[in-house]
Amino acid sequence: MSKKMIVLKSSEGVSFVVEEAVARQSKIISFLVEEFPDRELPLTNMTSEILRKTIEYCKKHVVEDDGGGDSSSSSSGDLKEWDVKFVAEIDQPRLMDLLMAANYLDIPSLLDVTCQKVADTIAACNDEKEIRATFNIENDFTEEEVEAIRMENQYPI
Amino acid sequence: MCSASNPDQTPPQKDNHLLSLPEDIVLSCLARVPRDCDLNLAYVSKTLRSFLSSPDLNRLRSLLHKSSLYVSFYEINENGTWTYRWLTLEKTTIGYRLVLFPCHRYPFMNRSLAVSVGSEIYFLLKYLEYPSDLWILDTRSVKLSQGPSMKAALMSEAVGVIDGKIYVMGFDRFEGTDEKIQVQVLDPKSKIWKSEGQEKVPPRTWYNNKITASLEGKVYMVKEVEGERMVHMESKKLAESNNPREGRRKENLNEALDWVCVVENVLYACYCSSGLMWFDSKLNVWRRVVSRYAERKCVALWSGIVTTVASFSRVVHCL
Repeated sequence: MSKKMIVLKSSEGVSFVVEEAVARQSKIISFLVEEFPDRELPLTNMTSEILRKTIEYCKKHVVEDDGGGDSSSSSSGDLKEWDVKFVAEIDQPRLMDLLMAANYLDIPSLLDVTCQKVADTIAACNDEKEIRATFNIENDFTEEEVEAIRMENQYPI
Repeated sequence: MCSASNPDQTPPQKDNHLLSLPEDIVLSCLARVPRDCDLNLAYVSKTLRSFLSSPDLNRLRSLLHKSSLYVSFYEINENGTWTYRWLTLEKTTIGYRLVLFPCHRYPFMNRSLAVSVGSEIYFLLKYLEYPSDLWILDTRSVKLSQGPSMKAALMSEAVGVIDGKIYVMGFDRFEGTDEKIQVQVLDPKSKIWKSEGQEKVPPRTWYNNKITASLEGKVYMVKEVEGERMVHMESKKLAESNNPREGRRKENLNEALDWVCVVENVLYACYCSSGLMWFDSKLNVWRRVVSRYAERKCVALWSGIVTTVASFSRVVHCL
């Protein structure tokens, strides 16, 4: 049984041929496929690297219909483990890009795992300095303001 | 790393900046951060601090997936009788709401300790009750079944879940001493009890109100007697990676305790004169919760909400 394929094009103009079922996990692509069948879909704000990563995720998460009812290609426990490994291998800048891609393409489960990874990274930081360094955030507090916050979180006695 | 295999690729955007992301994405990342990190986040920058105090963040946090919630409480009626109720969380299209849970109420439910693992609620009976001191309520079928009795007959004083296993602290019913606290562990899968040794505690400090909660792989027992002890049991995993001697901890807070609970990884306690406090487990100190509601009588409970109840009712369990 031949499967319908569609073509996605990255910002560098690299084409990726993907099974339609895989790509349809993106609500945006799902919509575009219906509006513009048999057309290459340009994703001008996604690099090849991020698009490849996104497709890798969608391939793993596609639910295959073998005629005998829906069956996911993996059990949910395996998928969770796979997700953890998937985001663990991504460095901080690419994680941000992947998060943006999940948001732009509207892939809720990918958005969920990437947001969770950001949250876990924040939780793993020991103090505010480490959070600033990890996420490239500027400290815009004056010393008086910091003191005022400390007063709010005072010790009990 | 991904870059190693693609040396020809242009580097990713330089804008690796959490706050350069769209606001709704920043919020959904922050909503997933455990609450005990809020203090660190509050010092990072003004923008991040304003995100933390945004009502949108609280709303998002309360909408995150919750596996279950069961609350049991009683009300004192006008004629002096008591009404017990069980409530559970129901998911609706706009969020979660509390509905009555149709569970037959057995008298022991209000006298026992309770803890939930998966879809089951485990009731541990403090005083010897025949034929078992453990009862298990399957919340899906709403059926109650008898569980295996503990290895030693304990007067259970504290219960908590660590690494998916149920830890019970208590005193041997027949030993006639309250100086040794025993620890027993139940594996919910195999339904087998194991003894995990014992700890020494000063005598005669266990009679009054003490309340327990578990977080970060530890079961905390916060007590009011003589005002100054907080005992905790630590998971083996944690104990091996950290200092194994740090199994007990003292905390000086010399006043009576009204309630204790865990909300999103933060241990809260309501003290009679200090009001609502939270425990900073990094520095080992109790801190005051800054809130205009904190002075009222506080109890419980879940998903970012520490609620207050009227004086004619009381929460019995919150799982």
